[in-house]
Amino acid sequence: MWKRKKKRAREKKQNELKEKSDETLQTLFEALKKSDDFKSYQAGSNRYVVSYLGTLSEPKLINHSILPVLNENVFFTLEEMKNMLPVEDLEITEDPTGVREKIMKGYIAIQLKESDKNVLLIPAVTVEGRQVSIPEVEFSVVGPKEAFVESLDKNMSLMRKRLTLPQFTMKEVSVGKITKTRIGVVYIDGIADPDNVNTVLQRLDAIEYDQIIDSSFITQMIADNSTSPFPQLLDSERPDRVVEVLVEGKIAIVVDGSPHVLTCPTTIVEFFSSSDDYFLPWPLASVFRLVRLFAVFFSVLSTSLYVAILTYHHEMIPEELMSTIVSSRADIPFPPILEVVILELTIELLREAGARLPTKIGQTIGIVGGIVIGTAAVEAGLTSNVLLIIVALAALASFTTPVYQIGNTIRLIRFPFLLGAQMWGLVGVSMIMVFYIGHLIKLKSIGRPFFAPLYPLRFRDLRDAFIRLPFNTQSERPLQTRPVDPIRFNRKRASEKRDVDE
Amino acid sequence: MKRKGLLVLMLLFLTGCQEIYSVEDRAIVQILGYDYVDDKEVKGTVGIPHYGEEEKRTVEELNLTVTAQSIKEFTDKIEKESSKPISIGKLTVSLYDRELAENGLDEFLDVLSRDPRIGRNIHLGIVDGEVQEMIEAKYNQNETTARYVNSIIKNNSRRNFPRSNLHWFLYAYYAEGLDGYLPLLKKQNSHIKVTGIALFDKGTFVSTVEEDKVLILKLLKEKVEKGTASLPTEEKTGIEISDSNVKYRINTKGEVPEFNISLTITGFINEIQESSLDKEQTPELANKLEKDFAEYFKENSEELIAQFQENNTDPLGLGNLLKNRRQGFDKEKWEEQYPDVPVNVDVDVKITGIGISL
Amino acid sequence: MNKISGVKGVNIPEQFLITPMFVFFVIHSMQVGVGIMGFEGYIAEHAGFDSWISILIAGAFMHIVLWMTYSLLHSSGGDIVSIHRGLFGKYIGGFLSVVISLYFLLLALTVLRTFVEIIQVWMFPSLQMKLFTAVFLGIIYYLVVGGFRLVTGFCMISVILTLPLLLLLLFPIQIGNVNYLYPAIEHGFVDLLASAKATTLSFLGIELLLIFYPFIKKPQQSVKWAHFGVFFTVLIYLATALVAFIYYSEEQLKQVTWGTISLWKIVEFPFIERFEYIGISLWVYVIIPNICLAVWGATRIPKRLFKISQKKMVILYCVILFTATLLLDDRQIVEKINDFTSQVGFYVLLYIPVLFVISKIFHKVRDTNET
Repeated sequence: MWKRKKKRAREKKQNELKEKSDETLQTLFEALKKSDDFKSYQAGSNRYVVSYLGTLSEPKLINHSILPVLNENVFFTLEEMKNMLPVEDLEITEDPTGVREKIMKGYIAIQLKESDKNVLLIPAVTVEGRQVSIPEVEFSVVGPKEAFVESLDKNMSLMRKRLTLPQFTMKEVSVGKITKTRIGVVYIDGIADPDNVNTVLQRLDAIEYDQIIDSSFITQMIADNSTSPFPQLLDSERPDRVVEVLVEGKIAIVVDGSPHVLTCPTTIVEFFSSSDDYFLPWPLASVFRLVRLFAVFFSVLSTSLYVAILTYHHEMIPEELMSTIVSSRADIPFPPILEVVILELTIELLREAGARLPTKIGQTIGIVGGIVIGTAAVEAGLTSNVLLIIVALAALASFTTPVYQIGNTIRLIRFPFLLGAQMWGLVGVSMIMVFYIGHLIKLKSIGRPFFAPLYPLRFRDLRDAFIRLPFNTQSERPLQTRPVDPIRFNRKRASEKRDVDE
Repeated sequence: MKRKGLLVLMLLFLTGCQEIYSVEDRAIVQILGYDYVDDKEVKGTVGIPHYGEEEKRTVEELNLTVTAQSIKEFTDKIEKESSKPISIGKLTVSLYDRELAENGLDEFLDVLSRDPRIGRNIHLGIVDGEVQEMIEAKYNQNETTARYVNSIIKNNSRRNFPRSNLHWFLYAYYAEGLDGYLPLLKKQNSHIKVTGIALFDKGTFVSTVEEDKVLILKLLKEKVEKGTASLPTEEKTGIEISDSNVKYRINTKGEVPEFNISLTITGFINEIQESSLDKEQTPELANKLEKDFAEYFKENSEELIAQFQENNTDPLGLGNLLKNRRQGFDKEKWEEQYPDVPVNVDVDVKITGIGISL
Repeated sequence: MNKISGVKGVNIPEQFLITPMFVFFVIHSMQVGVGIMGFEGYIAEHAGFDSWISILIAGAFMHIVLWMTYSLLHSSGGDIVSIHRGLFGKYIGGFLSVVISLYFLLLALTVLRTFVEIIQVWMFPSLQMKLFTAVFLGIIYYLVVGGFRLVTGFCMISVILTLPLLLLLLFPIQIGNVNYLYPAIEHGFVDLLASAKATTLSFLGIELLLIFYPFIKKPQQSVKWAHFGVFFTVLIYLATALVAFIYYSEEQLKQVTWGTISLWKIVEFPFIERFEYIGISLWVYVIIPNICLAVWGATRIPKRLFKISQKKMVILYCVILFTATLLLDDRQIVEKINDFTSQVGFYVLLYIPVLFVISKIFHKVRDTNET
């Protein structure tokens, strides 16, 4: 499949090139002039032609640095002009394609005469963007409070400032037939496995789509199995987290216009580790990680176990619990499965509504929905309050996942479990679980096993999986990334022990 | 496409054939009792809790009684009288009246051991009186009869009564050279009392152990960590047992195997007549009491074992012991020997304290 | 390595190989199946409570067979198909390989049918067998098509997931009666051997090594892991049997069809009772890799012999399993097929030493001819 895609991509590129070779400066400017924010006028003593997109270029630069120079001096070649202008990174070109691309990014084009083929390009890009702010999705109480923004350059600078290393490499590609989105593939040369880098670059190269609006597009497009509900690339909005995994030998994909950076290859356990885990002492971090893992299982399985036990295996309910459950269900007209589906769908509705609405209204909706609908449903005898507690807890538990993407997965995968529970009780639940485990073992993240370190069993990586052992035991980088240089630090020196009273 | 097809298929089945009853739509039988009618018929009574609405938290019990010739017929008939499908999975207590037990419980035990839905730690009991009356009576506002009987048996087996449940009874029932026993219950006015232990010869009720000797049976069978006994003298000295240990030894040198049971009991005195208390004589008193109690336990044990042998029941499992420890066990020969097998009991009592206010 | 002329070792691309350690999980998963659910009654039939010795005897026998299998495979470097071809020629060898393939199919059928039986008896008396078997086989198809590595991975997960079930054995020990379990060896050696033979169905599975050997990365290093696997199985069987002997009386045990499941009945927690339901549900994780391995082994042989796509063979075998499971809809037949498989499996196990001897003679003869 990959091969076919690549071949097609190559053909398409050739076609595009052909189209472009027909382009001249004249046709370009004509096309641009259709748009009202394109400015092209003659300025200066010698009536040079200045063209740019008014909405993209910095007016200050034009007014203070360019127009005065053009007015005060007389130039006969663009070369002279280039030397006089107090702006860096100037460029003279004849290539209409280059001119087009630069203008579209906010460069100013200056010609001596309108028919002239040579163009001086002055960078005057002003991109309106958000300031760096605190992370909202992956918030943590302690630790750095910077989050990525929608600009590739700013994101790069956020990372570079944490990783002052010449080997910190970025390869830029542009993807998307129409949007031409800039994508940076970032890794540390000498640690990251070149195979992984090549795989990522190849797959990015093979993407065939007209627009790349966000990094999540890339996640879906370069995933090994795009029909799987499990995300196979981890996205993060925290520069510190990304830098941390870069040092482990992973690869980051930064997409211009997206405040989320993708990292790969990743594993299932990484989706349940939060950056908080590294800011807390390791015993605490380990316990919280286990709590989170339990929460995930609870969230996925609790309602299906409820259905299975109440429908088929009531022998399992101890006598003391029996009265509570039976009396709470006594007046419910629906079988457990319907009850659960109704309540689960209600919770999903609340979540969707909460996610779509502005923050302030969203909160209100959550409270109103949760309290009012829940209580009303119980009072009206539509659901039992035992189930209400279970569903609410399950929903709460699913929010404990530190990565938003996997939270969505958890929302979805519980429904097949419900079906299994309704069909064959606990055996049905087990069978669905078998299917998912099989699926997870099959999954790969850019060609590396997704279910690691469980399978293939890697004891070295288990030190930072379900629990996090202290830093001095993590002397090697995870095997998952196949790092070129696997040693983090000298373990012997780190664990040198002092004797009593020394 | 394939998966969608499968899903549709599944949903079809979901709505189709299989009838599913969730927990509240079932009549969950918790107590089941049988009365003897005549040689052919038994009268069965079931107790089904009906849980009220949440706020009230009351439990009512629905009772159904039918007469039938076999257990299979009985279940069919009960089903006819019930508005919900009967579910036997949560059965906690099963009672039989005395007469039925005397005629043998084999058929009932067979059904209980076969049904995979029935748990293994349910309690069986023999009722002195009518089972139907016991099940139908109302004892407590918030408790079903099932739960009441269950907790009575459980609570007593924590103290003086030997433990028993379906599994232990079946263990003994099937084993060679071992017989089971069950608690004997009696309804007294508005409450139920455990009056003794019913001894069985395989499935047939043959004899009873009276209340005062129940502890002896427990001591001979298992470790007692909480039990009370008192000397039958006028002073009514009572001992609270905190630990006990029993060991069986077999001597097969002679023609007939000889059994030696050594019983070690640790406990403290919890009731003693004021007059016999004398600070100075505490050690001697303790020694005396130890001797007295040892004598008491020894006598009672021997009496009890004689009673077992007389009734040809072997709750101590002497035959099983012989079978497991010595080669060439002959069942028939053993059965002949059993009534006259010599059993010696050796009791050692250790008193750790005579109370704190001395 | 390839001493047998004309037979080359089978080369499997590296990404499909498994590390030696996983041989432990594969061997163990293949051995533990439905047998453990009710073997106590079977083995006690002949030797009573002494039959725990039989488990040790059977275990020792397994270790010997395993050693022979390894030495057979080491000297040929291939799998059963290439060994057969080398020793018996294309046609007879091919025929024998097909027989082995059918044997694995029979194993899969026995396990599947018995498990469906367990579910029918213990959980859903009115189970819709057609749908259930179809879905079950669907999952098996999904896993087997994922390849040997996937199945191996699942074996490991299954071992980890079901390990806690061993802890449940502590409950019956507390309740049971140690007093009556004395190591008095009352039964003769013949009885013990008969019991050991009855244990075979529970220990079947190491034959699979004959097929997956080429998939092991460093076969030499895997020997110890395979032996560990067998040892672990023996240990689990021994523990289960001993606990059952403590929990049941000897005559009672003969009445109980599914001894291990009944053991779980006694387990009780404040929030959940009657652990047999959980136990059986967790047993799905044991059954599925077991059947998957058998189906994978069964379909691997035709692929090697006739160059048929294994996917198609898996579909074909699944359909056969499906039909056969539906046709065998009787408790008695299930018991019979268990006995039958046990017999066949026993002979297959005996066949390995025979093969071992033949191959040794073959080598001797050829070596002398060459010199």
